[in-house]
Amino acid sequence: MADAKRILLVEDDLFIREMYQHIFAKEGVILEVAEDGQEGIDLAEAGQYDIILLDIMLPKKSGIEVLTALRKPEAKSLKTPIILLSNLGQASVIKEAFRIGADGYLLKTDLLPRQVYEKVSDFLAGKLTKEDMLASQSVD
Amino acid sequence: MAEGQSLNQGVSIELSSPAFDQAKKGDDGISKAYFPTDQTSPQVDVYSPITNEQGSVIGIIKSQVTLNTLTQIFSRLNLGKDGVAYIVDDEGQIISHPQAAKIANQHVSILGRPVVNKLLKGGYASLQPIDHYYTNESNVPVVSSSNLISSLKWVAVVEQPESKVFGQLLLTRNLLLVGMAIGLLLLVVIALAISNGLAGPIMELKSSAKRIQQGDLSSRLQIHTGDELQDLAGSFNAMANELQEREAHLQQTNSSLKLERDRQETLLQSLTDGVLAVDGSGQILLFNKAAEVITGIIVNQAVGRSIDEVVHFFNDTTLLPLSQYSDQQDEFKLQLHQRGLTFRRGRISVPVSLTVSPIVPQGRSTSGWVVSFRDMTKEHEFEAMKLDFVSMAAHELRTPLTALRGYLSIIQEETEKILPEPVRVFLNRSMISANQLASLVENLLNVSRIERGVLKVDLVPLQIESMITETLTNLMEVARQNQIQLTFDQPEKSLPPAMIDRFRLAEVLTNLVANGITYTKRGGWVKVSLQLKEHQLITSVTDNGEGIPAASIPHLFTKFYRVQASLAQGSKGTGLGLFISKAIVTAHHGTIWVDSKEGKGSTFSFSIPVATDEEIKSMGRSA
Repeated sequence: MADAKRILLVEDDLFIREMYQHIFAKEGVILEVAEDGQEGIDLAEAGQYDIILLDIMLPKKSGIEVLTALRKPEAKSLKTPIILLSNLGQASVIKEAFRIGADGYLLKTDLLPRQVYEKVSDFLAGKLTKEDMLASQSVD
Repeated sequence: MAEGQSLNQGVSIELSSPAFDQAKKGDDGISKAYFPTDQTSPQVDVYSPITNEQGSVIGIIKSQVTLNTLTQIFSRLNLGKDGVAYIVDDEGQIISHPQAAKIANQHVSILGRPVVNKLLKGGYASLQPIDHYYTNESNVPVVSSSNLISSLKWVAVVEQPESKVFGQLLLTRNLLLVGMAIGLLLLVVIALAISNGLAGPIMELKSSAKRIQQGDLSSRLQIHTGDELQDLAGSFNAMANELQEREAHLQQTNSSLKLERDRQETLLQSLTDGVLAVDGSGQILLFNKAAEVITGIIVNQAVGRSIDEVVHFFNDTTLLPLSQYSDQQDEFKLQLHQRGLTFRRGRISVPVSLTVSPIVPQGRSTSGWVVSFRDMTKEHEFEAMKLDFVSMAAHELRTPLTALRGYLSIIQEETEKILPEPVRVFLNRSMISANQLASLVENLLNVSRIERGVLKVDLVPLQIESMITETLTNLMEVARQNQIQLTFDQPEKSLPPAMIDRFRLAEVLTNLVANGITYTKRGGWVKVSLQLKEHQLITSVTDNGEGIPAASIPHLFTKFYRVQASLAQGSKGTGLGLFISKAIVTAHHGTIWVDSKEGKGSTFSFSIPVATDEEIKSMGRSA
């Protein structure tokens, strides 16, 4: 991520949020964060992000609702890649996310923070495709 | 005859006079006073009839009486130092006076004095008060009084110089003034004495009471007057003691109450449910942290205001009139869990469940209400995604594990070069344990699903080959770390697709390869192969590890069964992998088995039926 990328992380869990912020910051990338779904929509629509990392279980608005809102034809973030970054691994949920317009679905529990960074970084660099951004395991 | 009167001797022819005539009629007669030429003091003639037995006057005795004696008597009258008494006859002549010079032969008439003439003419009643004041013949202002001696037509006068009379009065007045002054002085002295003896203690009492009022309960009175004041001070001190004790008790109670309140407050604030308390009139008394988070309303905006004004809960589109619930009495408790119950504020709409409970102090009627509400977003999400309990549990267990492993990895990364060897090992063990825990959690959840018969596979026609390639890619790093050569013997020609759940089957393969790595010595190998045999696609994982004792083989696919691992320190399995793998393979209508020789190595294989044309058509080709 040589050229400064703007990344929005929508995550309600403080520990997880700061964990990703830390590892991204080490690589010189400032993660902007939203703590609930509504804030996620507000920030996404207000800013020009290169990618949005979106949790699903969020207060106020779920990640699925956020995704739906950001994939409306009139949404400013319509073209912004959205990678779901969740601990929900149920296949039906993953399918639903892709149906709405997700660009990836990663299970937090499967990946160490650095691996998340690398995946996102590679995805932004065009080295990884949507299929590569799919959770490697789904046990739910 | 008056006592001591001397009789002038001699004989004379007596001329007729009123006094003599009176004597001739048989009564005593007394002449006017007159001054004989040879005498300095006046005298009177007294005629006394001499009667026979028949009462006829046969002679008259004439006595000449000087008034000296009278004067002497008068002069003896005690009229003070300057007072005089004297007698005036009806012509105003002084006929008797202590000072001989004043007597009438001086021919001074004092008939002009009202005390004399008015008395002679009109009697005592005619005298006016003013008549008693005049200046006498010696030019001295006097006060006098007089009395008429009617038989002699004399007037007895008593005079006192005014200065003497009123001098006495002045003296009296002065005495009175001095007395008053002394009295006043005495009063002041007494007042001072009283103020020292009475007012002093009272002032002390007052200031002490004031100190107590201001909160200084240690204030005590030191009054030793030996009277009621001392008693009062005693009572006061007793009261102060009592107050101090009560204050101490109160403070103790207060601090324990405060402690309890703090505890309650902490408890309340740490709840993830929003809690607000209202009084009987619906006014908000309390608004906890979670309530702030859920509603976006800060506590200062809520407390003191009406609940209906601040928070709006809807049942679908109907506003719940929360304040009306406070009209309900006794055991009323409202619990609303239905869908469609939301908290709304502006654009915000949060799904909630709601509980309204009365605050009923022991033995009393309702004094307010507690409204607790929970953000149901997640629950509704789970529900909306049709997730079962295990999925929920998986999510909730994964989140802290993600953080645990994530932070451990960051610590490892950042301290790799600075940590001393043992600590680095310990940190690595922590990471391994966290991984095991994560793996155990996943496996237990799977076991739970298997046993409840809800383990679902989402079968789509897919090339098993691609699944194998992808899975092995993920495992290469683990193999490398364990110095195991991991290879995939790709079939020479493309094999038909099978109906598989890509992720589930990858899990099976991962399990088998991981086992191979675990139970093979460093420098060994693990090979994966795929072959088609009688419409079955057979995937095999072969290692040149230690093998499995024959006795263990029948138990391998049961729950929690573990073959003692002698290698790969820290890579202890959960004893669930093969159990789950078998369940997954079975769900794919396949079978799983093992061939192993102790000391030589093992081969784990599973077969999946080739997808039928119908299956492929109905599902379509999936990416």
